[in-house]
Order: sequence, then structure tokens, then C-alpha cells
Amino acid sequence: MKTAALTLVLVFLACNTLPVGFDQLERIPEADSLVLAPDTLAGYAKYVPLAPADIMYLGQDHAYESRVIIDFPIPDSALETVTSVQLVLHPADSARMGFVCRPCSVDWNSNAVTWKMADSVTHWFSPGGDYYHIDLGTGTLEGESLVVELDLDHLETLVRESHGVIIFPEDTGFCAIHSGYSQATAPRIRLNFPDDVTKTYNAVEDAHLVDTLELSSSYLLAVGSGVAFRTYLRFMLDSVPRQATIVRAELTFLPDVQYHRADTLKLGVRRLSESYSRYARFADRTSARLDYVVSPDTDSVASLDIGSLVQFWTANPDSNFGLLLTAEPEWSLMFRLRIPRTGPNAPKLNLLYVMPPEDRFIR
Amino acid sequence: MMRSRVCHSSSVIRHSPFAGRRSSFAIRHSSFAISCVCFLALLTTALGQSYFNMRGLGQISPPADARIIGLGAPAALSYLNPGILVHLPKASFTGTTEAAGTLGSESGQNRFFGTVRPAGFHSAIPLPLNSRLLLGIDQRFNQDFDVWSESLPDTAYRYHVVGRGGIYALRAGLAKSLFGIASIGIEYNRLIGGSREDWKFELSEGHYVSTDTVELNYSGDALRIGASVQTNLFTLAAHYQPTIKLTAQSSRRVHGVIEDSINTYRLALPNAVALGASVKPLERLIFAAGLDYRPWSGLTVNDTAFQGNRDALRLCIGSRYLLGSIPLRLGFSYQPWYYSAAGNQAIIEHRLHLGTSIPIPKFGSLDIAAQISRRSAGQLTETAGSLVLSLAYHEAWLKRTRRWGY
Repeated sequence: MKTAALTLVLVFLACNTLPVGFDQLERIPEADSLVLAPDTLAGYAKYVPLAPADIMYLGQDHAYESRVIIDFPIPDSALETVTSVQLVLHPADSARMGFVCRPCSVDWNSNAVTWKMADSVTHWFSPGGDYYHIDLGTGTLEGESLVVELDLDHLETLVRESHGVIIFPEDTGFCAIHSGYSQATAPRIRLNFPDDVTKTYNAVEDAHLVDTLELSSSYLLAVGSGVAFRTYLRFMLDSVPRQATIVRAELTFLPDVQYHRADTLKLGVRRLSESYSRYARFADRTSARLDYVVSPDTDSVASLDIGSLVQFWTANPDSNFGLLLTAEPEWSLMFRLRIPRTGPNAPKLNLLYVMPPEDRFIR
Repeated sequence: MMRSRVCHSSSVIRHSPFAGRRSSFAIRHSSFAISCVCFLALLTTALGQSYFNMRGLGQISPPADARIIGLGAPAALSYLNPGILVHLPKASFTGTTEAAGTLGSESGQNRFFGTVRPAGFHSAIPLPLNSRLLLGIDQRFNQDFDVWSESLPDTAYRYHVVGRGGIYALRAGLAKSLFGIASIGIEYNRLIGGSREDWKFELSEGHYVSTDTVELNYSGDALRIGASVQTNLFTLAAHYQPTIKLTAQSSRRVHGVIEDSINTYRLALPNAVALGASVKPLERLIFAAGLDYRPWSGLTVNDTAFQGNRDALRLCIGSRYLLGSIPLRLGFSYQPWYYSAAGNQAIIEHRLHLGTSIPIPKFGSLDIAAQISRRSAGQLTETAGSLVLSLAYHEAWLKRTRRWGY
């Protein structure tokens, strides 16, 4: 029993991390801190493809408008004996939203479709999607799923001449709809035939197209979703030794929230992999994320931990092309916040770094 | 004569009238002990030896021989003295493993860590003309440690520094016995080794953000000459080691990627001398004493005096008593370390040694030693315990050679 107790005590003493003996080192590396302001900053807005979204937004207000575009693989053979056509949508929230559904008149590609572009090279004739001025059906989104009867007279137009449907909001506000991300809740077309025969076609492509009336100039720094607002920052790190270990690297700023429909705004930092331009490539993976909570009472400083990114830059100085502050993801519910260029609320990088250790013979 | 009885007590047991009964006891226990040695030898993960090891060249390793450790580890009476073997009837091979635990105490805080490591191997082979060939490998300095830095609210990070390694000697020597009462020997040591310090950087959130590694590679040459005189009543022994030239190359790997700052140090370790004596007042009782001295204040690095070192005089006494045919050993040593602790505090070590041997018929013996030491400097105190096992094999090569002649 005593042996077991002694063993337990020794195991406990071995597992602890008390600083016994550390003072003997006497070659503790030096630490230093810096506050850096960006040497280059810029901002731009961009219509970005929103097809990766698992939630699509439909709605409009004073600042934004969002439409939904969906394509279905309906074969020509379905035209002859069909008795009714139904569009089935699955709302993702409880907001009510009236809408009208029209056939899209131009081929489009979900990987590149935006408010401005049908695909990577084709502009819409009318921004927001070209369509036949035919009302295929109308309805109001509410509940868990919605079935809209489409006008059978325009079925041939829908199948043979159009490229899916565009759903236009009729009311003010926004509602969320499940995309084809999940087969169970994907938008679908249901064709009914005699003798209770039914065929269902899930969406093969879908996206929401977002526009805003408040596109900012490149002088203004902003971060936003829907229409992507991105802020470019680059910090000169020449004063940080290459061998230093970055203990803390906090990118901080006090944003001015100009538009939001949720209280938590998701921000991200992405590393640029080439010199800055609005077309510059950046890393697929975010280097830092922040859930910025909008607080009406107090000014809440946004703080992103970009220690690993700064560590990468100090070790690989030639790779420091700067970073992009973005919404994360950019298809999330629309928001936009302004970042001051100068003054106490402007972006700054708070650095704490430690130099590497020396060997035991250094004097 | 004393040396031959100390080192080869198994031959005494073989001729004893109680040899048969003891043999079965010895076989049972020795097979268990051999298993323990093999198991411990497999565990080569060194977890740390002393909280003081991060300074200087590290802790001086005692002779890797449980018999000598049990007597207080007088170096001049051990295999470290190439002239110790006046009598060597058989070739001797000894492998030693050490398991150690250290409890550090500082400002009311305690932390324990342990070590299991092979400590050394040495062999002595009789040659014609009363000469001997000496071969072996052992550790001379130990640089294992494992410490955490303090966690302060304003730093938001901690270091976890783990050091591993040491300096080892590959030994080859020749000795000659003179007139059956004296021996002289000379030994060449090729010093090799290295240490690796991993400075792991932990944030307050509990994850490591980087590891910086400092490596040192050592190489050097050393000579050692020794002599002894042994009679039935007493033994006198001494060895001397001239200045050791050691080269240390340091390199640093920052964040596991960046190679940086390769320095080369030329170290000159001052000459050293060790004296040992034993006396046998009774048939079953031996007293031994030893003295090791190296003027460490003369250590230079790149021809510049290395500050903080102290001349080190180690003293030890011990005794062996034969209980039946089982030797019991008891020793004590006093050793101020050759370098200072933080704040230029002297490190003083007291050590109690215990030991015994279990004979293994037709093989050799298993020698066991235990040590309890206490060393302190300023606020830091270490209490260390270790178990040293030496498995000795004795082979009468010369007799077999004759049989092969039939």
C-alpha cells in the first residue's frame, strides 16, 4: 500500500510542469514587442460566385437585392403527357417572402455566375440575370417546404428554351432557402403524369445573385459578404528577425458596421500568394477567423490572431504579399463594415516575439 | 590482491563448501536480474538526470561499474584507472545499466523525473607477458534535463526545454602487471557525443507553437595513465589524465526549418588526477577511499577562461563486508560540482552508496548498487536515487586455448 502511494506521488510529481530548476538556464532568449501599421492598404468590392453556399438568400431592401437562380435537368420527353408542374423549395428560416419565378433566357455556369456575369466570360444583358418576361409561378416562402404550381402553358418554354428559373423577391426583407448542397432539401421540379405518376428532378445547379447599391470606391476599406468587400493589408516585417518565434500577432481594428442582418459577423484572413491586385490569387484556407459580435452599446475592437501567418512571413520574407480581410464565407448573410484607414481605430499589428536560444557555451 | 577479490569474488564462491545450495538460489535470482538488465537496457529513453545539467559540460558520470559505485565510486580503484588490473586470470566483460530518478525542490515546489539508460561497457582481456588489453565505452558527462519555465500572466507563454545527450568515451588501452604486485597502464579515449536541446514554445492556450533546437556535437582525444600496487593487506592506485582538447560544434534549427549560427568551440579541460587506496584489516572486511581532483577553474573555451567553474575535489570512502559469500558494500562521497549554479552558487553533493553482488555460476556475477544523493545550490535542492546493475561475464580464454591444442 505504501509502495503504491509512493508510486502515485512520484507519478504525480513527474506529470507536473512546475518551473523547478528553470532559473538555472540563465540564457533565456530575449523577447520584444512591436506595434506595426500597414505600409500598404487598399480595398475593393467584387461580385463573386456564391454557388458554394449551402444556404441561398432571397430578398431585397434599401441596400441589397438577392435573387436565386436554379437549373433542373428536365428532359423533352416529359412534355407530352404531363398534367402539372410543381417547384418545391425548402426555406431555411421562418421569414415570409413573396416571390415570382421566371425562366432564365441565357445559359449560365454556377462556378462563375454572379449578378453581373452568367459565366466567366459572358455578361448578363441585364445585371441580375436575363429572363423571359413570363411568370411561371408565384408564391410565398414560409414553413418547412413550399410547393409552387408552375404555369403548364409555359412548360415548353421552361424545358426547351430556358436555362432554369430565376426567383425574384416581391417583398422587402430576406429569407433563406436550402441549396442543392443537401439532396434531401434541394430545390426540385416535380412533374405529375396521369395515373398518379410523378417524376422529380433535383436542381443540378443553383446560386444566389446579390447586388448592392452601395459599392464603395477603392479608397474605402470595407469587409462584406454577398457582394464581396475585401480589404488588403500589408505589414513590413523587416524589423522582426527571421529567427524569431512569434508569440503573439494580433491584427486589431475598430470597424464601423454599416449594414448587417445578423449580430455575429464572420471575418477571415487570407494570405495572398502573389502581388496585390483585385485579381491576385490568395490561399484557399483562412489563416485566421473571427466571429465579430455587433454590440450596440460599446465599441468592440476586432482582433484576429494571425501568429502563424506572421511566423510564415518572417521565416519566408519573399512570400509576404500581404493579406486580405474578407467575410468568411463570402456567401454568408449580407453584411458590410467599414475599416478606418487612419487614426486610433485603423488596423494595426501587435507583435510579441522571442529570439531563439543560445547554446551552453555562449558568453 | 584486494583488487582481484573485489573484482572476481565469483571464483571465491565456486570453491566454497556451500556453493551448491547457493547456486540454486543464485540462479533463480540471477535469471530474474538478468531479465531486468536486458529490459532496462532496451529502454534507452533518457528523461533527464539533473536540473543542474544545463550548465557547463553537464554532470560528471561516475564509473559505470556497480561494484565500484557501491564502495563510493573511487575512480582510481575502478576500470577508469588503466593500471588497476594487477591480477586478471580471465577475460572480463561488464555491461552496466542505470535507472535513476531525481526529485527537484525549489521554493516549495517539487518535480520528479526519471532516467533509464545504458551506462557503459568495458572489457579486460589477458594477454601474454602479463599484459592486458582494455576496451570499453562509457559516458563521461551527462547533459540530460527537462525544465518548464514559469507561467506569468503578462508573458502568455512558457518554455518547455528538454535536453538530451552527453559526452562518451571509446576506450582502448594496454596494461602490464609487474612482479605480481603492481600494474601500469595507458589508455586512449576517443571522446564523442552530442546534446540536443529542444526549446518548445507553449502558448497559454496550451499548445506548442514552435520548437527551436540547439545541437552540440563533441569530439576530442584524451589519454590516461594509471598505476597500482596491490598486496594482501592494502592497495594503492592512482591515475592521471593530461589536458583534454575537445571540440564542440553547435548548430541551431529554428522552428524546425531554419539552420542558423554554427559555432565551433575549442575546449581545453584541465588535467586531472585520482588517488585511491584500500586496506583489508580483516579477512572479510575492506575499507576503501578515493580522491579525484581536477582544477576546473582552468577550463578554457576558445582560449578564454570559462567563467563560473570551480576546482573540484571529490572525496569518497567505502567498505565491503563479506556476509557468507555475499559481499555487502557501503560508501559515502562528497562532491562539490565543478561549475556554479545560477547566481554563482556552489553545487554541493553528498551521496550514500550501497551495493552487493549475486554470483552467476559459470558466467560471472550481477552486481547491484544503489545510490541516494542530495545536491543543493541556493533555493534548488535535488534528491536523486539510482539503481545501477552491472552484468559481468568472465571467460577463461587461455585455458580453452590449451584444450583446443589436443
